[in-house]
Amino acid sequence: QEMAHRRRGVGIGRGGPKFQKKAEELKAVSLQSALETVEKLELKLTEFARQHKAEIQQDPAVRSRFLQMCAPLGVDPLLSSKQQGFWANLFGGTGITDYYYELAVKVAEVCLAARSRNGGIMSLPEVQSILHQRPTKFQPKLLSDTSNSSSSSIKNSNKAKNKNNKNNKNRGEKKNGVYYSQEDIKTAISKLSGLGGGFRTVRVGESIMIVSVPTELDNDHMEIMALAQPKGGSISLPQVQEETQWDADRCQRALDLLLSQGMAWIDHNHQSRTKASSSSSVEEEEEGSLYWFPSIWKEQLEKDKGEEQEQG
Amino acid sequence: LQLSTYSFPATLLLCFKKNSTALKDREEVQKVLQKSLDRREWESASRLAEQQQMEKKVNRKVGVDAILSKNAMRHKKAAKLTDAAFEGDAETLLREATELVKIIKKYASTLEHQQQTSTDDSTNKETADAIKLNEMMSDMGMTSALTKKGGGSEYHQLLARHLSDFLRPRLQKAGGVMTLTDVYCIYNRARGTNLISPDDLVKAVSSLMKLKLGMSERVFPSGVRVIQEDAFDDQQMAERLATKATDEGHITVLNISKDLHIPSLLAQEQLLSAERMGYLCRDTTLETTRFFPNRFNEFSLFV
Repeated sequence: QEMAHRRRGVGIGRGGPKFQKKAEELKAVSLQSALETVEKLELKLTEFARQHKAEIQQDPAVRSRFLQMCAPLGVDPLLSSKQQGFWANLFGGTGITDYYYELAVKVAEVCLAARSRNGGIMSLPEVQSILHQRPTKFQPKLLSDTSNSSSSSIKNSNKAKNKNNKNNKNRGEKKNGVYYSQEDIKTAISKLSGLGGGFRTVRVGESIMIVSVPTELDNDHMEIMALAQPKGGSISLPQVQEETQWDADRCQRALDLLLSQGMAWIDHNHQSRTKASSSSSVEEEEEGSLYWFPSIWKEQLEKDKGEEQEQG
Repeated sequence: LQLSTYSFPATLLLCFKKNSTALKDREEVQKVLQKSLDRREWESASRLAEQQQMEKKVNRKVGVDAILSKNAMRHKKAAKLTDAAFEGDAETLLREATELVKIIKKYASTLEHQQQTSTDDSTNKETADAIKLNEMMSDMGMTSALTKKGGGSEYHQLLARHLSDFLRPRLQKAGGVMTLTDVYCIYNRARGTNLISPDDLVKAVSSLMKLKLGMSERVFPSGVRVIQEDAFDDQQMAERLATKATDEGHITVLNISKDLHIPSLLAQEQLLSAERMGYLCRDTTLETTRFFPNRFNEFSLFV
């Protein structure tokens, strides 16, 4: 008889009154130990963060390692911005959270502004370079308290380049903006995804793209865009068919979606230009129109510019 | 720690004095030695020198690019140096914390299970403790089914009220609907410091309807989330679009977005919504998708 009761589960409290009382006792004990365990966890995290506070605040690589480490624990320092919260007290205010939330705002704005041009997909390095060129109106208090005085001097002395040296105590800051690492941007995007705008990162070939529209993009789309990477951002239907060995329908469908979303632009003139130069008309018809991907094209442009500077 | 060392060619022998802590000591020394070997700290000085050599060659960029690359290099260098100490502590923390987290999750799930099945036999102290646990967990950023239920904590409800006050004039000017992303951006921009997180916004917004603040969240089938004035009427908007379509022959996302001064994402959602209600019919071509007034109802009369 007793076994049957036990099998039904003491915790559910459906046993007789004796077990009911026992169930409540157990509930109380487990609640108590849960609270204690949480406190223990808080202590450990506090100790760790106190020791490495400076590094975490100033070095984006350490910061992203720290966030990465918290993830499998199910702990998210950036979940909420409560002022008297655990993390706020640990890092001396809302410095870190403000940094990421502001970055999220900026990334959203950059993506929105470029959407009409690239359809809502752009490379991570492109977003990064646009962010670095924007002037910031308000300085995040990410770094130690000494930055408060230097940040106000930044506002007043935007023209004087020499003041840079005083402010370079805080590694990330430059004259007009703050340095954002790729990991920082990725963290900001992961936070934005909860807002329902479709913000996410996808891998296209060898690079990482930021998507800011809720359109569903599958592997076919990614692959076609990846194929355009070595070709300077453009590709034609026959080329896609040749390199993927898919049937024409599948290629066309993927290209059509990208076109309708504004992520690809079609260049019909390509055909007529080659018609003029060559005599054989059969060849041109097979060539077909060219599909341009502004996001890929832009990215290749930046890459080439970077390489040029290194050589020259 | 009582230890003596003897070195032979290619071997280092460590002898621990036989006392009560010998076994533990041996393990500890092994661990620490292994860590040092892994990190190769004796190499770090030479690696640094190497890096400096490389940097001298590559430094050709000018202007903003130079500053950017210098910063990036500096970060990389510093990261390598601090990495060692940080990684060690991180490892320890991860190990110890994972155990604790497992325990916490277990208790949280039994608690949540109890909450689901119990009726009113929980004493006041228990619910108070449960709430406390909930608070502590969400304070640290731990989410579980337990914390998710508390979508309207005091902080978030207050935030909801601030939000609605802030949004009311802007929402009206924008036509009654705004995407959540837009709300996040303009609210934080206006706030300036102590910004709110996207998760905070989502939680606050979910209690808007309950608090009867004149606006509420709405999620479209595509996943797009917006805040919509209570006064906004889907039906009205659909009829308006249908009239426009009849007057102009057909309408598209772009021209609606321009005419009504709303973002294209919203325009698309309104058009799709009107289509779902049967006011519009779409015609998709390579160029664009056009919406025509739905005249199928008229046709059926002629049967």
